[in-house]
Amino acid sequence: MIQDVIIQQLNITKLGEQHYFQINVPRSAEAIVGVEVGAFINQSLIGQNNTAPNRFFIRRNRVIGEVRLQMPNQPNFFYSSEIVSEDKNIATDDIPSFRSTNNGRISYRRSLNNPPPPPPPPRILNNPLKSFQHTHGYRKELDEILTCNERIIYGCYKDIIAKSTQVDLNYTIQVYIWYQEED
Amino acid sequence: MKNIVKKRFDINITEADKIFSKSFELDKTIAFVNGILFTSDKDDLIYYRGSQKVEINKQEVFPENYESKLLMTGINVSPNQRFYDVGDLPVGNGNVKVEYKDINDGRTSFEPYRISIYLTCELAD
Repeated sequence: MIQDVIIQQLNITKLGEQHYFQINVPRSAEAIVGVEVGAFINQSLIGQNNTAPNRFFIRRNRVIGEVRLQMPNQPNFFYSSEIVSEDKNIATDDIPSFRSTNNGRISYRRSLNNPPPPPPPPRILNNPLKSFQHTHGYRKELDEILTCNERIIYGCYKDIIAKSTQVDLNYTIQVYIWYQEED
Repeated sequence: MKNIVKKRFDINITEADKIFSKSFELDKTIAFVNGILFTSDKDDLIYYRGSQKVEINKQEVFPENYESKLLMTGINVSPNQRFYDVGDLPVGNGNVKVEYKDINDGRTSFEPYRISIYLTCELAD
């Protein structure tokens, strides 16, 4: 058994766009074994900053959109997922040796005799104490599913992020379909 | 008992919105590739901007536009679980080809960076 993947790219340009698509599954495929989704955003997001998440404070994640997949002759969706820009609560339950103020700046515990800490470097990501999705995120895993062997998949993508900001956004959604076939 | 070795190959990404293609040769003593891992010296850039195609022995393991973040791990992951498991993939002629594509992403600004490809390899008996 070997596994292979099909990538379906969707270019989204309009506010609240709904994109319907079809994915052709090769004849050699015996079963679909997993689905992944991702996004490239081609322009700056309004209100989006690159600061580390605050500790002990739950923040709402930014949802880019929603993907749904359906097989022909099947009564319901077999896959539905929201695509999230990044997990802003990745360090919520992390208790470090320093504390973070509400605006995301780090203030070190120090006595009055000690000099204040040096200002943070210009590249905020150089600070090893902060947590980001790309450093503290877990390993990406497939959403494992096992479906009957169909040759076509119907899909629907619905924009949420542009609708919430009321501005047209240009981004690319990627849907990965992993399938299994004989050697 | 399997004899496992780790291999690392680097590609320097010097320009934004371009494809960087590089081929690497594995040692002749290597029989299989078991795992793949992508990382970078500026991991926010590869996480948000990167996608790649990977071929081993002319067999496409990951197709074009497969996002790099799907092959990365954070430091919260156990070292023994960081590699993407590709089973026992025969290396054949030992040629590993990587086509890395940098795509502008609104969440980052470009600066030159390096990506590293780590392979878990199994030696021939």
